[in-house]
Amino acid sequence: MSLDGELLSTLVGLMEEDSETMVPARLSLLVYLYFARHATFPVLQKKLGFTSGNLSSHLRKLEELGLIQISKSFVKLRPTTFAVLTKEGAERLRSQMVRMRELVSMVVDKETKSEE
Amino acid sequence: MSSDVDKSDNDVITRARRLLLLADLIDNYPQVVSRRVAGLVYILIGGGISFATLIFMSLQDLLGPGDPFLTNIGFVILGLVASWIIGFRLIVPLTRSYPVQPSASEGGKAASALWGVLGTAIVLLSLVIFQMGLAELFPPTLQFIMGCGFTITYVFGKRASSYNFYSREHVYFAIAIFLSMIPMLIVPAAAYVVLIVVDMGGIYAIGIHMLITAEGLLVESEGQGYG
Repeated sequence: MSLDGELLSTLVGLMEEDSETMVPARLSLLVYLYFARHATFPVLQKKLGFTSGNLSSHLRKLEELGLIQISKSFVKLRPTTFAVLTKEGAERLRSQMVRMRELVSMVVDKETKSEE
Repeated sequence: MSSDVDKSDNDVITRARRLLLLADLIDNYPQVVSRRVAGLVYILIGGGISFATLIFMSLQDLLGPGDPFLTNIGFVILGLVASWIIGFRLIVPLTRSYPVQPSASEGGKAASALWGVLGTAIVLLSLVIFQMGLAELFPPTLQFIMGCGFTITYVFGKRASSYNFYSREHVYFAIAIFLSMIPMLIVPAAAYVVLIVVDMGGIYAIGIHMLITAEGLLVESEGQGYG
């Protein structure tokens, strides 16, 4: 399979443009929160397999970008951290994925045609 | 060596297809949520009307016509409106967390405006019909307005969504409503029974059907990004 120059540069452009969220760990956090709407810190850690320090830093970065909201409250008398995807976060993820779909489907199409 | 390259190419293609599927799911998930919320709204409306009707009939039997009856009905309506406001405030924000396509948003606003107009028309027509002493004409007239409302809701839903079955149940419900006008006109004594069975049953059926089939939008989306 070969990627032509135009496609490759578009893909790189997309990744550079969204370099803050085009990190696998952050993208997986956004995707998880997109479907779950909200999740507690231990759930995210367990489901996505992050260390607590790693998860904290990614959550903080996503919060700074306004893509998630973090709140703390007591659940069964224990302090628990909640992460909620904001509307901006949902919009950003969706537009990124739609653009990635366009690029990848172009490559897949090209590959399928060349196989035929 | 060549087989290794082919294997690696196939792996990349498989991963690319998974990514396309994920992108499809993310793209279509807001519609799933809005369908779920629409289903819950229908069930809430159906449940509220059923409960209010039950209380209304019980109070009518217990108190008979007059001031105490009207006062109690006032409390029932107040309670119903308050519970709907609370219910809608709880479930409608679920849709606001997700991006909505402009066409879908316009379709939703148009449907709300339509039902506002139709609701006013129902109230005005009922006042006119009952004042003219033509009470037997109320159920078929109500059915006609409801049938038109659900047909237009179907048209708005179809225009606002790329999925054909997104609001197909509305058109089936509209057909059932229009057909129910026939027994109402033939046997006016049974008109209210037909009205309750068709309208309330239909509202519950639409709500439950929307909830059950919401996930179907995701299945429908599979493979769309494969080009």
